Amino acid sequence: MNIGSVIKYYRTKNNLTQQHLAEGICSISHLSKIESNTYIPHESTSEALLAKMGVQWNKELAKYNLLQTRLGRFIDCALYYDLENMRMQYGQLTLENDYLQSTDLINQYELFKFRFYIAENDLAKAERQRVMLERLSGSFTAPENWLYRFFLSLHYSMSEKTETALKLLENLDQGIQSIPQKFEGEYYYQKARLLILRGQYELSAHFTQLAVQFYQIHHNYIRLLHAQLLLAINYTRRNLLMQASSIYEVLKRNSYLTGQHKLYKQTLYNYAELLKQTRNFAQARELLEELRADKEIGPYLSKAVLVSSIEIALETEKDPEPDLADLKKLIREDEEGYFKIYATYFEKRIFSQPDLLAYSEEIMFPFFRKYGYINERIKVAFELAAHYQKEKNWEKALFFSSFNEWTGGEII
Amino acid sequence: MKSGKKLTLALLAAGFVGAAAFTVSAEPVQQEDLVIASGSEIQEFEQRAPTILPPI
Repeated sequence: MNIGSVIKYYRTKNNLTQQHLAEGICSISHLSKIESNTYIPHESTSEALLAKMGVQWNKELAKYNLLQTRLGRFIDCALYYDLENMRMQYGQLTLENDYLQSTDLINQYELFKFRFYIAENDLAKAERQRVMLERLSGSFTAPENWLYRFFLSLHYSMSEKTETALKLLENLDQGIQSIPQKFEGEYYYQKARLLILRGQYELSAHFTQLAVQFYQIHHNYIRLLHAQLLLAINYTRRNLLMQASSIYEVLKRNSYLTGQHKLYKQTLYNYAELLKQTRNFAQARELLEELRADKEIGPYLSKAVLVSSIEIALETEKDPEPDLADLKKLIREDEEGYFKIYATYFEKRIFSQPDLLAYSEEIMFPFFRKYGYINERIKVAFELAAHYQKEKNWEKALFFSSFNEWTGGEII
Repeated sequence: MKSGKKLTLALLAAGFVGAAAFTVSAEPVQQEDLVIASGSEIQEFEQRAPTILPPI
């Protein structure tokens, strides 16, 4: 703890000038050096300076230690995904904001706040915090710098910049850098999560297993459920359907029993994906119906459920129009994104097949490419390649087939 | 014994019972076959709905 910063904090708080405080104790230039932490004062000098402002050093130390413990708890909440408690800790810490700013805990404090805004999915606050941390980054210690880049990667992950996020993560366990022990599981989990988005399932499974082991050893049950969901999605994508199905059953039960309502709904939704793949449409529909009956699933999941229901309707030759109409109602006029793209895709598929190909090539493919939807890009490219192959338009067939790999044909 | 027969017997002795599966086709490769190398991305069901990942 820097005593100079504490003296400066209380002097400013008491509206004292350096001249006023130093009077009778030391010279002004001496005090100035103490306050900027370039000089460590003799015990009697610091005690006299603090006593003049009615501050007791022992109490200060106790306060410092308490805040350090609180900061530890704050970040533990993020690691254990205890958001409610994290909000409470955040509230308490902000009451001590000014004091924290005067201590060497400030870097940790600002870094953990960054993680908090990411966990809260608050893009605007996270972005402001990123700009602020960039200014502070010159004063980071090596572990703080590791954390900064790790959280930065999560920030990119949150803004769907998968490639940038992964590149940052990949640099974090190379060379002399090691992962801080506390963050090991978190590092594996986040890496596995991003690798799924990139379509590197085998590698992702490896990191998910590491995360699962870490969470089990550290009794981190909620994160364990999250890692298991990643694993189930991974197995589904790799057609390891028996394994995926048994994980989903466990997840369904445990997320329900632990009151993780959001996770429970996500599990049902993803489980339906697996059931569709095995053409078990009746059961898939049952899970989706349970979600549709829930009034609190939020706009994103509502739209995803409708897209999923439309797919089932098309596969089982039922009328998809009511679901499509519901989906269009949920999509805002000005919305440009995944669901708008798919609503139009299904509309064309149902009502005007000839337009579908042009739409895939001119709108969908560039959209997925621009916004880094790797899997979707591969899917559309594959269909277009197959089409142009049939038409014997080899140039285009070759162009689109080059996207049929995990990099999506992009040079990274 | 012809050398071809000797080789087959040697392969069988070494446990390469399935060696016959490695046949070489003399037919020319069609251009269509070259365009799309594998169907590894094709699944039985073409999923369009997004996968929802657990939180960051």
